[in-house]
Amino acid sequence: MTPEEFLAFSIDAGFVMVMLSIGLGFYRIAKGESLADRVVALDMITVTIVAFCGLYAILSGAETFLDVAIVIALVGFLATVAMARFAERSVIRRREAEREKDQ
Amino acid sequence: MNEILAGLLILSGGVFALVATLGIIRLPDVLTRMHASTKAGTLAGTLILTAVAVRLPEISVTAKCLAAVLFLFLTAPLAAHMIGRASYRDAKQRQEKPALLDSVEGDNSGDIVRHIPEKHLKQTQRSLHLEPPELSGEKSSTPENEKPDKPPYE
Repeated sequence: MTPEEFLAFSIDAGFVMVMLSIGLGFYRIAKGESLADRVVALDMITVTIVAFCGLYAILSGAETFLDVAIVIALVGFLATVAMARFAERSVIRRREAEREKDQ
Repeated sequence: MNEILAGLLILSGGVFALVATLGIIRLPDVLTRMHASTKAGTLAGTLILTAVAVRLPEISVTAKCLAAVLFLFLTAPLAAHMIGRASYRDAKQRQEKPALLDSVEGDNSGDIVRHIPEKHLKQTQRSLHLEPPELSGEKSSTPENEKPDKPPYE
């Protein structure tokens, strides 16, 4: 196996593993159990999509995909923080509502 | 040589991405899932971006890869911290059966730190060498004077 063939095989195998990982992450988003579980899965999927963009940059040789990867990492971080704040606020809101009901 | 190094980095990155997903699916509660996804997922992204920098040896590509990796390393702990705090407060609010008791200083009133589903509860307590919690209305199955010397997990 020449080095080029090994690299091509690695890229194919990497695509399979990364896509499998994204697909199985969606299983956790669908199943959930709690909002925090879904946010964790979403965070993992974002990082995996960054890895996907890196793989595609190697495959195509175009460095534009790295810009895409940086932007996705940025937006994914903001989304995770916003969702985590939302989950936290909803817990506090529920607690306050129950306290008002008790009074 | 270049190609082989990049291929090895890609393969290990893909394996770590799969490990992160396996952790997200198989582990019992939010904090342990976060432990899997934050560390293994970030390592997967880092390894594959390093492979890009190895494969395309130009200054601009390397700089972009470095920026993306630095950004991942900066944001992953922040995001994990916020999700962890949200789930901690959520578990306190739900008041499920205590799995592990809080040992944080100043907060030792028996607050629930982690919510662990019923089917995993016994195993987790055994693996952490904890006795199962005494629940009100339930008597301990072992009498006081016949307490075994060996811990129950052996």
